[in-house]
Amino acid sequence: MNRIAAIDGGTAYHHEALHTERFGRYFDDIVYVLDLHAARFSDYDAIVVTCRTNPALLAPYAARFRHYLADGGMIVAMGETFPEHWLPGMRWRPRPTNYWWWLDPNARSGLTVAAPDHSLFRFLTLADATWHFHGLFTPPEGAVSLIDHEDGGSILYDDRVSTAGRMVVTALDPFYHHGSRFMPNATKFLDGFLPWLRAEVAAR
Amino acid sequence: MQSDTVFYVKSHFGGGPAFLQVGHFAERIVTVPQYDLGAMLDRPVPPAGILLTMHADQVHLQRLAPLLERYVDGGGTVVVNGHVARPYLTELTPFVPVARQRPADLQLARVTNHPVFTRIDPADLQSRKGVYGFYGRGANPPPKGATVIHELVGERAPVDWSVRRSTGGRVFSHAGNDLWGVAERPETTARLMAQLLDWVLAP
Repeated sequence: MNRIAAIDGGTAYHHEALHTERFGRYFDDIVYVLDLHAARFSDYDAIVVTCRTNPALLAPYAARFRHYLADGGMIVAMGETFPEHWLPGMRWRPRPTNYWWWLDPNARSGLTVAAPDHSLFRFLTLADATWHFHGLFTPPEGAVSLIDHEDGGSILYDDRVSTAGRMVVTALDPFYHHGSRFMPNATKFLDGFLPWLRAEVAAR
Repeated sequence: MQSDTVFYVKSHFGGGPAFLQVGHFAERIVTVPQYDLGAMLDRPVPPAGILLTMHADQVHLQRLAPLLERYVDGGGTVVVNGHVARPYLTELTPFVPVARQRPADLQLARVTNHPVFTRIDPADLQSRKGVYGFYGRGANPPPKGATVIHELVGERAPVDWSVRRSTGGRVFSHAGNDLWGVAERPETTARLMAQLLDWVLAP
């Protein structure tokens, strides 16, 4: 099948990130969030829920997402979508976002690569995933954290054990920042992440 | 006939901006979830103004366009924050970024005095902690007859403008991060929001 859908929250940044050539070409369908009821999830190998899509609009589909995963589907939950409202087994703690850490010449992001052999790191580097984040996940037993924070917790993990499908969950919000036309690392992140996702889907 | 209430159209998840909790604003501004806006505008007495955020779902606003047009035709005021991607009022066209985005290009110049910005120095708005770009990195191109308030100096991009329809309704556009979040100093934000509210309430 080899098909990927992105959910579009309808904002200017979703428009810029999804409806222009640079990243739009990685998706077979863009599904506007208010039209989600008409989408057949089983038409897609992967569904990307893009940054800041309102979780109140996703929560009614929690059961449908669960069935999709049970049937082997793949869901990518991007930053600020609050997946604890619509995906199973999320353990998340928000933390105050330090937008300014990089202004300190001695600053450290606190992020480390937790799974250097993971296929994603053939497509992007830790630097491409470094700007700020909005909280930390505790991945379930058996899931693979890709990027850890020194305070404990993950900002990006890959879970192939909790369901028959696959959940890639991140506290990063690259579609928002790319679509808002600032934060060059967010653009670099998508330059790596989306080709990786296509390769993963093609390899299934 | 309009009420003396302003709608803050909440398009994002979680709480609203802090200024909404302050007495003067709390009395005048009602938070309306975006997906209730259609029903709220379709009432006999419309609000004096509506504040839209950079997080507005513009696909939805486009679906509401006939209602929004009628609202402005009837004398209503719409304050637009952020980039226009899908125009939902006749005055709006899609955002155009400036090509060069060095700090020197993104400095703010006042072109026309406007009651919303009285006694606010553009220098208090153009950067935060020395970082430029939050205020704007381009413009929603103004319609014919608009008053340009601020430009980004590099390419003279009209980042802020307002326009009045012959029927009395008004559209104000700020093509950057939400106005209540761009100033470094809380005093500047408080003054800016008070003046914005006064302007919206005084057609």
